[in-house]
Amino acid sequence: MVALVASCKPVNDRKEIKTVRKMGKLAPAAELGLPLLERVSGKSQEDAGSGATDIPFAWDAPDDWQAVPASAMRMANFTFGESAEGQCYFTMLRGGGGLLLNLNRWRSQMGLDPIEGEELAKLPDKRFLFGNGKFIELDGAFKPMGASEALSDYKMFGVIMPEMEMGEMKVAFFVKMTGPKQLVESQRENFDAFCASLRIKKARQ
Amino acid sequence: MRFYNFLSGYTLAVILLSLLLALTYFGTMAQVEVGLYDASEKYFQSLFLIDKIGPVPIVLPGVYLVSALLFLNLLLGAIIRARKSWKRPGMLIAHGGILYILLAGFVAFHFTEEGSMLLYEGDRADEIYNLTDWSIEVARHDAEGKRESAYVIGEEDLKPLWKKGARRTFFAEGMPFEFEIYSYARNISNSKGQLTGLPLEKDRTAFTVFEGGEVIDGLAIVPQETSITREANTPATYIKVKDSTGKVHVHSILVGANPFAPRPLTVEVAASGAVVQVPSTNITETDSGGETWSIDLTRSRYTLPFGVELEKFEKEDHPGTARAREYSSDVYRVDNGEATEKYHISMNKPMRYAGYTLYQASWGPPGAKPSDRLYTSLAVSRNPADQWPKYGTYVISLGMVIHFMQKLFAYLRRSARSREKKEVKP
Repeated sequence: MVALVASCKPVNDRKEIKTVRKMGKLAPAAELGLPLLERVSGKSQEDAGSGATDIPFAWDAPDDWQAVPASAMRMANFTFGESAEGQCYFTMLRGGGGLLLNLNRWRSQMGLDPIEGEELAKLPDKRFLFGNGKFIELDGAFKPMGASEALSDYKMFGVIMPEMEMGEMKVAFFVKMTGPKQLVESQRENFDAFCASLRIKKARQ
Repeated sequence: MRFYNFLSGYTLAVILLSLLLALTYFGTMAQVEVGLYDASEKYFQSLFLIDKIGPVPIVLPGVYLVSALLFLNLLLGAIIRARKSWKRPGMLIAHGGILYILLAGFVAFHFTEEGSMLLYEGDRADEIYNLTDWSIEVARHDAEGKRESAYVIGEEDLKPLWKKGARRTFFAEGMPFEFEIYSYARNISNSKGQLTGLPLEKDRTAFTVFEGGEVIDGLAIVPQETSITREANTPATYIKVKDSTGKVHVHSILVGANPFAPRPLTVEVAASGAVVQVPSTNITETDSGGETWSIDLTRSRYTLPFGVELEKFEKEDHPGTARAREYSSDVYRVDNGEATEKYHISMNKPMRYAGYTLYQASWGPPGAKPSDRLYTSLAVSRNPADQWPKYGTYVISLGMVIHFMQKLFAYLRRSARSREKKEVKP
């Protein structure tokens, strides 16, 4: 009982370290002499200020999506599903390439034949960023870039906003979601909400 | 004598077994709320615990204490005090087997080392790290940055610091400074692994200011809710490094680090005894030629007496999905830098060597695409009592077989005698 009462008080004492561990010969080398911020984040003070937080777009991600590091191509990057087999990302491309070219590129990734330009008019609109983008829904065997085998019974949701004028540049914006068919189907509302939530955070300098 | 009789008697045995039943139930139910590890510590690894029945707090013995008493009760009652006779050796043997299993639990609890090892193809490692326990390692580095050994503050000495207001100063023979750890936060990350509890000063208004928290180099520790999945927590703490006179030279933050890319706090100790954080503009010429030390908050690590090199990792998925059906690793044991024996590790086929068992546990990275490079995750454990429960079960089985065979033969003898009596009667 005395020990129980004593254990309720926070300690304020001195303790000698008696355990010594012999380091493994193959142990990874420590990076010495890094300032605090770099130790913690792996980024320098300068880098920390120019990272993802300086992306001029903001969004609201669904709770059950897992944020994964952004890359040069993917400004917002997420996975979802039990084994993170589903993925969704937001990207911007300079030049863009036009709606038909991008749509047929995605169709090819899903093992589908290309379509002709006149069929573009049938694509529904989806609220996205500055207004509306063209919504694409494809079923098929998804073959990610660089993969040797296609993943059957997959589904792709995509929204494309092609050739937006930004200053003197033409850019295209995309949101693309891929994953096993049922899983992607279950994320339909999340996908719509994510697309609708994308907005400009601040103007580029 | 009465106390001895109680200690070795059936009454205590029944009380202890009932308590074990109740504690197992409470401990299992508690896992839903506090997670596997915290529930295990509270109910199964403790001497005493405080639980609540409704709003009423009650003090209960922990499974550790109950098991120790049960061991004593069995030893005194079933071995020492029990009648020893060639007519009933089975019970003696069976109780010996139960004692052996209880002893195995004690040895496993106190002496098991377990951890994980992650390897990409071609990688070598001879250290494992524990997914749930954290430690602080302090090491001196030579001119090339290498470390021979490290002072280790284990989870047991860090646990008292979980309490608000707790602070502890650590020192060691041969370590030219001491340091104080305080405001230790068990977790500063959110469910996505982002360090939300380590905001930059400019963002601090978005958080509740932590009592006792300080801003150091623009960062502050703001404890986050502890996840019941203990391995998902990332701890952080404030640290003050002092010289032998108690003067504070370095004031910083330690954050739970990735064991594969350690980025410890670095301090330089001058011949004069002055301690300087590196990098620093305060390093003077008199400090040159001093010793370089690192202080790292890291997942508890153990060194293996041999190395492991992953030659090949194979994963086979269920058709048309990214779900793994089976996976295995081909590894070499590495002794003195040379790859020696080859082992194939798969789900039910571990590698055993030098008292260590390496199981195929998992693979990663999570969410890897088909074209991604994968790593294997091996669970490594060294439990001196690894096989004891198996042997204990054999001993119990032997005792039971002897006991029941004796009973059977006695019954058959009685039956035969009874038949003989019946036949003799007219």
